[in-house]
Order: sequence, then structure tokens, then C-alpha cells
Amino acid sequence: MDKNLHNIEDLFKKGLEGNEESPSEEVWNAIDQSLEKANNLKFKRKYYSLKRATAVLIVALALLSIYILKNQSQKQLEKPKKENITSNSQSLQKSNQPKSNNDTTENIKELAAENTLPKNENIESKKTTDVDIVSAPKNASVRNHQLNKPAESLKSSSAIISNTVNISNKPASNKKGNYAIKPAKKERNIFIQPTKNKNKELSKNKPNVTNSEENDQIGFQLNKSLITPPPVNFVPNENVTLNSIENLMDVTKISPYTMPERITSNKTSTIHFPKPPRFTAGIFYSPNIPFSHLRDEDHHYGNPNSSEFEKKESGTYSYSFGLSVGYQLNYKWSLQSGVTLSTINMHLEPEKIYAERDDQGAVKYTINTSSGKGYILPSFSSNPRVGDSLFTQNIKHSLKYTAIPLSVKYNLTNGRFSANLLTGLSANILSTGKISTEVKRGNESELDKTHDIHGLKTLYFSGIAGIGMNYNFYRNLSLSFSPTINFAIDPINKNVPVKSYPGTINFQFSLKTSLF
Amino acid sequence: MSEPTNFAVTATMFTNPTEHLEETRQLIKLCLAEDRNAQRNLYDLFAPKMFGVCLRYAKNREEAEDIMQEGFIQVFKSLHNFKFSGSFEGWVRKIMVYCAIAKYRGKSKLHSVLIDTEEIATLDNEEVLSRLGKKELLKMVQDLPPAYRMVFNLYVFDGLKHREIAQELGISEGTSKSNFHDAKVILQRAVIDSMKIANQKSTNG
Repeated sequence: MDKNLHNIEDLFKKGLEGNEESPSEEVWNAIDQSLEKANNLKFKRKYYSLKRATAVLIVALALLSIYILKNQSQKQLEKPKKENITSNSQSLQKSNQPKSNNDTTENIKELAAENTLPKNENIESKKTTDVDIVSAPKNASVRNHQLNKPAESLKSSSAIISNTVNISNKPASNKKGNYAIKPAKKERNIFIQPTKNKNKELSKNKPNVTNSEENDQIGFQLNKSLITPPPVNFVPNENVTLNSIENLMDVTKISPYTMPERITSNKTSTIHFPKPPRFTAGIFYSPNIPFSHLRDEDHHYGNPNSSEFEKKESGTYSYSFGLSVGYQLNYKWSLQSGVTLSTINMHLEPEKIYAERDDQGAVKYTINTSSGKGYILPSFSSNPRVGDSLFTQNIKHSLKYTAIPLSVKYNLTNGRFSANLLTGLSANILSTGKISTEVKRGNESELDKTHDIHGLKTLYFSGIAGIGMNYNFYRNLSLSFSPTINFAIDPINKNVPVKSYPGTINFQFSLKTSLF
Repeated sequence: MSEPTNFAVTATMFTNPTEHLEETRQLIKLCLAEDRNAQRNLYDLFAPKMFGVCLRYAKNREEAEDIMQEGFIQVFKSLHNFKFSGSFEGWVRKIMVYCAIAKYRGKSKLHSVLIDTEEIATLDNEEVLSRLGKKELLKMVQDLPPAYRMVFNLYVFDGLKHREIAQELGISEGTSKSNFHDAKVILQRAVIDSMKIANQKSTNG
């Protein structure tokens, strides 16, 4: 018998070695289709990372444009303010100018009149006086007599000059010959009253009152940091005109001390938006379209691969619902969080399943899904042997997650309507994973399910991006619709030959109310 | 996809592909560029031979076609891994065998078979071959339980040692040897039965 047994392998080797047969044409057709599909998948995969990068770029651009828009809107809000300030300062000048000009001119005219000179002469005399003032040092009689009154009148017309002004050709602190005014006595200094909050600053900037060595040389020196008078060239006596003095007056008119008061007074004109409520709460429901990106991890022959799953698995109606809480950071920006209960349903093509040993060594029928594998044991085949098979149909694969999203929203409001852009992250905690199927053997059939999917992780993170439209239909109540995309950042399974990155396209309807 | 090319697959290439290494090389290069015509030509070139291999590993023609389909898809997917250092035919054949093993490991494994140990008459190989055709022999191999069929094929046709077979199939070496022995007993019985029927037919005829 042994001899015969040895012969039998030779017999078959001789008989079947090099045996050739032609397969049916269907084989090539199937290969052709499969290659076509593989090509498409390859193309998809090739651009998957590009798609991801594009999505990130779009989100980044959206955020950037939001930032730019925000800045622009702020600038627009500030612009009227500035215009106000400018117009105020102009009006301030206007209101001061005629008065002071007139005052000054009037004062000088008064001065001339007091000199009991004919009018023409008086002007001449004024000029002369000016010249004298400038050119003749310590010409006290002329100085005191002639300048006291104009100074008084300046005081009465709320000018910013001390009541006694001495213009000397020896300016105390200006060697270059630029015009300088020194304060003579504290009680004689007159300033436009600053606003209250400027008191400190003002007190700092108050010119020092010094007892001049020359008692008759009275004046005040404006702090250069506050006002830098235009350089006035010290002209020869004959060139000093009335205009020069008026120019001098102009310098005092645009004292910055006048500005804060006016700005403060115009604060009332600033546009104040009503503060939106800080907290909002709402409920939502969202029908979802699931999709998944699969990646092969273990290419060993016999292991299921991504293309197999892509071929046999398809997403079916999925949904999510939950509570949302919003916190308004400012008029445009808000944070949104809450609790979401989501269900992802996938459907598998009918297939033959085989009995295998599970982790505990028990022989059960295995259903492979993109999320992991599940074991079932139908009642009519409760003691299968390894390799036994069953026909299954209507295989459903369902994953339930409790998610805690955190997203940042940029809102654009127009009346009752508002639109928003949102982006964020979500932590997804696995609640249940279920595989259900109808198994058949001959005339027997049975519905079986398992809640134990091997390989599923309990937590995975996903990214959120989307847009939203909101309609505030009654006081604090609003309806919103936001199409968003939720995509897994890390796989939902581990220690499996195919890693799955599921995602959903959500069409979320929500009802929100403002809290406080 | 690239434009279809007019790569001529000659009759001589079909008869002996190994003699046309350069043509095969060119065909492989075109297949790497995902030229569907070239892929079809490569398939036509090796399909009959490979289908013969698949038939031995499968229990029927349909299963053999499944194995071959999967095998050729793997061939086209893994073509870039072929380094032109050995026989392309051998490489393709190896993939087919691995696909058969994968299919076997994915489903049927152990089937208890009752082996009748009654004495079997001696056989002359030449006589058997003259009486039984290739189809009948193939049918006998296909009718073997999957585990025995796998071990018998791997040992007899692909030259693997029992240690290697055990590794490939995820069984012990002893199981491999035992399966091989049982496979031979079953085949011998099948051959004797077939011979008896053939003898009866010839006597009646």
C-alpha cells in the first residue's frame, strides 16, 4: 500500500502538471471592472490629502477674511469718530478765531486809541510801539503803558495769554531768536479749562512760574511738548506788523488743551450697539449623509482590504440630535458647544460568512465591516465548525456616538437674519456599535445581531466646518439651518487590517433661545 | 489612463512565453503604465496556465475563476514589485497559489473525513493514465476536502515542505503530514474506483 501511495502523487503530478484550460470571458470582465474601480480609488486617494489640505486652507482663508472684515468694520466705526474729532477741532478753531482775532485787533486798536494819536498815526504808532517793544530793551514806560490793556482785554476774551505780555528782543529761552513767551505770575496765567481727567496732565504741564530777574519782563512760556509755536523770525523793527501779532494769537488758539474738552463732549455721538445676550441654548436635529475614508494597514493575503469594503459597504440614512449652548464673545464672535447624539448607519451587500475562532477560541460566524469584525451564532447553527458558511443578507452596521463639539462661529447679522461660518473640533465617545443581519441556511432564516465590534475605539476626534443661516422670528427665539461637514481626524478603530475615518455631511435644523 | 497601444501578442508567445522575455518585459512596462490593452494581453498570455493551477486548488470551476480573478488583480496591483530577476510566470503562479491559500484561510478549514483503511489494490500509473483523463484526475483532486487539497497541491505541485505548508496554512507540521497522507488515501481510493468503473465499462463494451 505504501508503494501505491507513493505512486499516487507521481500519478497526479504527471497527469496534471502543465494542465491548461481557458477561463470564461467573465473572469476578464470582472478583472477589468475591478481595475477600473481600483484606478478610481487610486485617484481618489491620491487627492485625498490634497482635499484635506484644501479644506484646511479654506477654513484658514475663511478665518482670515473674517478677521479682515472685522477689522474693516471696526475702522468704519472709528471713521465717523475721527471725522467728528476733526470737525470739532475745526469748529473749535472757527469759534475761537474770529473772537480772538477781533479781540486782539481790537485790543491793539484800543491801545492805539489810548495813545491819543490820530488813527493813522495810531497804527503807525502801534507799529512803532511794536518795534519799540521788540527792539528797545527795558523800555518799561512804553511797555507797561501800552501793553497792559491789550493783555487785559485778552484775558477777558478768554485768550490764552497772560494779561501782561512783554515781547522782548531778548527772549529768555530762545537763543535762536524764536518766539518764546514766559509766564510771569501764576495767578495771571489763563488756560482753557481742561477736562477733569486731564487735570493731572495739565498740572504736570503747567508752566513754571518764575520770578523773572527782570520784574517788568512778564510773560509765560508754553510747554513745548504741548505746543510748538511756529518759528517766528525775529524781524527788524520795521517789519513787525499787526499780522505778526495776529499770528502769535493764532498759535495760542490751536492749543491742544482745547481738544480733549470738545472730544469729551462729543462722546455722546458715538454709535452704541445694543449688547446681544451672552448665552444661548437650543435643540437641534440633523439628517446626515455618512461617508468614510478607509486605509489599509495590513496587506496580508486573506485579510479584508479597503477596496473590498468600499465595494460592499454604503452609507444609509443617519442622523444626530442634541442640545447646543452658545456663548457670545462679542458682537461677531461666539463659541458653541453642547451634547450631540449621533448615529451612523452603513449597509453591506449580501455575502457568505464563515465560521472562525474568536478571541476566546469559540467558533462563531464572522462578519467583517470597515469598523471591525463581529461574531454571530445563529440558533440553527449553534455549534459550527471552522470553515462552515452561511448566507447573510441585509447586513446593517450601526455606530452610536455621544459627541461634545466645540466650535467657534463668526456671525454676520442683517436685521432678523444672520449668517455664520463655523469651525471646530468634536470629541466622539462610542455609545454602542451594532452589526445586525439576516442569516439563511436552506429554508431556515433568522435575524441576528451583535453589540460587540472588535477593534472599535471608544474615543475619536473629528473636525467640524460649515455655514449657518439664522432667522430670529420672535424676540429671543430663532430658527437656524446649518449644513456642516464632520470628518474624523483619527481612525475610529485600532488593531485592524483596515482603518476607518468616517464622516458625515449634516443638515442641521435648530431652535435657539437667548438666555441672558 | 494612457492611450491603448497596439502591442502584438503573437502565437509563439502564447505557446512559450518564457522564450519571449523581452516582449514580456515590454508588456509588463506597459501594464505598469496602466495600459488596459497591455493588461488584457498579459492576462491572455498567462490565463490558461494559471487557470490550470487555480483549478487544482479549487473545488470547482467557479471557485477557480474567483481565485484567478483575485490573483490577476493582485498581479496588476503588485506589478511594480516584480524586479525582473526571476521568472515572471513563476511569480504570477506564486500569487495565484497565495490567493488560493487566502481563500482557503478565509473560509473552510477543517472537515473531518472518515478514512476507510481497508486494503487497496496496487496500481500501475501508466495504465491509470491511459484509462483516466486529466479531467477525471482533476475532479478527484477537487473533490478532496479543502485542507487535504491544499496540502496535497502545495506539497506535490508547488514543492513546499511540510514545515512551510504548516506555516502558510497556520497548522502544525504534523497536521500537514497527516492531511497529506489522508489525501493520498482518498485519491488512491478514487483512482481505484474510477478504474473499476472503467474496467466494467470495457468488459460490458
